[in-house]
Amino acid sequence: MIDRKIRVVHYINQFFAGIGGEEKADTGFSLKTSPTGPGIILQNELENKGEVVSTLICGDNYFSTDLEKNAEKGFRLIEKYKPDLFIAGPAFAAGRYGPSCGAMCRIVSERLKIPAVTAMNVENPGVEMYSQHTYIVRTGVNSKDIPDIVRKMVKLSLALIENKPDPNLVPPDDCIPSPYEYDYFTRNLIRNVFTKESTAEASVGLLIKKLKNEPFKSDVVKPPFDKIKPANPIEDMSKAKIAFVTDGGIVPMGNPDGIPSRMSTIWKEYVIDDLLPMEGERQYEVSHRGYNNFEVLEDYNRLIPVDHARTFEKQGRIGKLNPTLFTTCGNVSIIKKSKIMGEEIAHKLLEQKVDAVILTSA
Amino acid sequence: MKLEIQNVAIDYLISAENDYAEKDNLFISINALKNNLMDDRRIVSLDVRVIDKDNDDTRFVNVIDIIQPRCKLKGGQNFPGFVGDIETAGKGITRSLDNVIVVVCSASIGKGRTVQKFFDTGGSGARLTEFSNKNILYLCGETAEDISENEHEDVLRTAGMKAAVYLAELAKSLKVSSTDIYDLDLNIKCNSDEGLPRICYYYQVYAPHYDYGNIPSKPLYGQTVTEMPPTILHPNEILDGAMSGVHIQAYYTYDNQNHGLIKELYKRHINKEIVFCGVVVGVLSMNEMRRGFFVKHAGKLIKDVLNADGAVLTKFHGGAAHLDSALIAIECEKLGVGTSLHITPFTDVGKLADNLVYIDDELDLIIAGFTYFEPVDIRFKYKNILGGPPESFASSPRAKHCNTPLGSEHLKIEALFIAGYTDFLGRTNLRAMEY
Repeated sequence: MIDRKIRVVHYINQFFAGIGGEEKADTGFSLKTSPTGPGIILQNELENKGEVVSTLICGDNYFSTDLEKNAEKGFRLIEKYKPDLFIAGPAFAAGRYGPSCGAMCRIVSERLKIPAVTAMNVENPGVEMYSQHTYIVRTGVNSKDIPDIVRKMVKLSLALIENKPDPNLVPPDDCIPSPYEYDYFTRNLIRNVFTKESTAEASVGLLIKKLKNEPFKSDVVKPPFDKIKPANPIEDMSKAKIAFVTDGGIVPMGNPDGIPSRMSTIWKEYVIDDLLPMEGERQYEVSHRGYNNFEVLEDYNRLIPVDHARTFEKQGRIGKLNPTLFTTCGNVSIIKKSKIMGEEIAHKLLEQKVDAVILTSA
Repeated sequence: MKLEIQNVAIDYLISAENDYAEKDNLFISINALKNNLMDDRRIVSLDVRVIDKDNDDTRFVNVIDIIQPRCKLKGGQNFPGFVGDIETAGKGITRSLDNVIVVVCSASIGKGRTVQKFFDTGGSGARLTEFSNKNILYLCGETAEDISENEHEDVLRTAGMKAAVYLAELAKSLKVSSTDIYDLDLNIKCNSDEGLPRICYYYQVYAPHYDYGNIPSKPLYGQTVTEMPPTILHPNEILDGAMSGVHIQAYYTYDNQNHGLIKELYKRHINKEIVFCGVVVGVLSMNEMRRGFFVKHAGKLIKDVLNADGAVLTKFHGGAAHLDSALIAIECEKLGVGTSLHITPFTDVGKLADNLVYIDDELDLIIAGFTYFEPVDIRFKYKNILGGPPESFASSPRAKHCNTPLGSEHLKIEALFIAGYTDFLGRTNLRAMEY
C-alpha cells in the first residue's frame, strides 16, 4: 500500500497524443511531463490518489519495427520518473498499438516490479502476446468508451497497488484481483477459488438448466485444436530409419538429468544400447509418477518395443533403428511446453534423417 | 430403501478414565479403546489420542483415512464388509456424531505411494479444511512385519472404523440434534412425477493403475473392484458405510459418508425439482476392449435401466480417469441422456481446456473441480506433529522439488495434499478458475 500520491507514467501513441494519424506513425519517442490525450481522463479518474508525472509517446510504426528493442528504449526513458504504476493505452482493437502497450507494460512490470495495466479488445493481437505478462482490461472497439475503460483501468490499478488478500484465494497468490470482478483477460493461471455454492450445487443446478433447454454456462469450453496434416506414408519401410520417442518417462538409473515426475519441460536423448541393453542388469528407471510402472520396470518393451525393432532391423523389415531414443515425462504436462518440446525433438529427428517415429505413451 | 440418520452433536471429546457420555460431551477411555482395537493381532502397536476441537497447535501428517463416527441402531451392519458382516447398507437407522472425526495416520510410508495428505488445526491452513475445527480421535499404528503395505493401511483403516463405531455407540444417552431421512425407491413405477427430469449419478470409484505393487484396494463392502463392470448401487449404501476411503486417497470414508453430489441430488429430489433415479458405480479400465464394454454397459444401465434423462459424472484420481468418464458421458449423450461431467485440472498454469484429453461437441457441460497442483503456502508454528516424522513428504521423494517437508513451519505444498481442501465428490466450495 502506498500512503502518498501514486506516481503514474502513461504510454500512448502518436494519434492519442495529438501528433497525427497514420502519416505520423513513424514518429519516434517523446516525453511530456504532464497528462496528455486520454491521460487527462486518467488524471481526472485518479483524483488526488495519483499523479500522471510523465507521458511517454511513440508512433505505432516506429515501435512495432522491433517490439523488444523499443520497449527497452521506452523503459530507459521513463525509469527516472520512479513510477508506482504504469498505464498504457487503452489500445482497443488497434493492431500495432496493442502490442506496443503490452510490450511496455511487460518490461516496466518486470524491471520495476510495479503494476502495469493496459486495455484492449479481444481481437487485438496484443492480448494473445501479452495477457500472461501483464494486466489487460477488456474493451469493445469504440474509442468513445475511453472514460469507462479508463475507470476500469484505474479500479484495477488501485486494487493491484492495495495488494489486499482475497479470502477466496490462498497464498502465495491470494492478492490477485479477480478477473471476473475487474474484467481483464486472464493471465494463463489456474487457481482454486472458494465459491458461494458447492461444486455439487453448481453441477446439478446447471444440469437441470441444460435438461430444461435453459441457457447454461460450462466451466470448461472445448479449445480450438489445430488440425495437423499427417506426413506422407513411408513408401518402403525396408529403407526407413525409425526412431522411438516416448513420454513414459524412461530414464537412466538415478535419473541423472532430472527429468521430473510431472510437468516436465525437458526432454533427453539417450543411446538405446546403453539405456536398454538386451542383457545384464537393468540400467533404467521410470520418472513418470502418473501410472503404475511396475511392468515397465520388469520389461522395457512394455513401454518401448525396442527388442522387436532390433529384430525387424536384422530381418530387413525396417531400414534402420535410430541408435538413440527421446524421452520425457508426459504427466500433468502443460500443452504449450509440450508443443515446444515436440518441435525441438522434431528438429533433432530431421537432423538425424529419421523417416518415421514410433511415439509411445503410458 | 429408507435410511434414517440420527445426528448427535458432540460438544467435546474428552480423554477420561472411563467411557461415558454427559451433556453433549463424550468421555473416552483411551486404554479401553486401545484394548478393543488391538484384538486384531495384525496390529503390533497403536497410538490413540484425543485432540479436542479447541486445539489449534497440531499438524496431522500421513493421513490415510478420515471417518465420521457412526453406528447402526437398526437394520444393518456397521461398515459392512469392513467391520460388520456383509449386509446391504443404507437402510434402517444409523446414529452419526457431528463435530467428531476419527483420523487414521500411517507412520510407515508405503513404497511407491505418491499421495500423503495432511492438515492443520491452526495457522493459516486451518481455514482450508473443515477437519481443523472438529474433535479428533487420532489413531496411528504399526502392523506385523509379514503383511503387505496395502494390507497395513487396510488394517489401520478398519481399526479407525471400529473406533468410529465405538464412539457412536458411546453416545447412546445423548440427545438427537437432528434427523436426516434418505428415502428413495429406485423402482421406476414408484417415481411417476410427471415432468421432472430423472437424474442419476455415475460414480467412477476406482482406477486400477493405482494398485500399488499390483495389489488392489477394497473400497466397496471391503471387496476389490478392479474387474467390476458398472453396477447399480442405491445412494444410501454409499452414505451408510458401504464405501471406504482408498489408499491413493481420491476420497476418504468421510467423503463417502457425506457425499456432496448424492446429498445434493437428494435435496433436489425432496424439493421436487428432480427425480433422483440412482447411482451407477464404475471402474476405469486399462484394457481397450473391456473399457468399451464398460462404457456401453454404463450407458445401458443409465438409459435403459434407470431411465435417466440426465447424469452427473465424477472422476477418480488421475488423468486416465478423465478419458474414461468422458467416454461414458459421450455414450450417455448419444443415448439422449444429458450430462454434467466433472474434471479436475492438474496444472496451475494454462487454460482449463488444456486439461481436456478428448474433444467432443456433445460434452457441453464440464465442471472444473479443484486443480491438483496449485501451490499453497501455509504458515503454522505447530506444537505437535502427529502421524509421522517432520521429514515426511506429501508425495514421493521425487516430488521434493515441489514441496517442502511436512514438518516445515512455512510449508510450501500443493492443493491436492491438504486433507479436506479438495474433494472429487462435490462437497467443497472450491472450483478451479482461470485467473
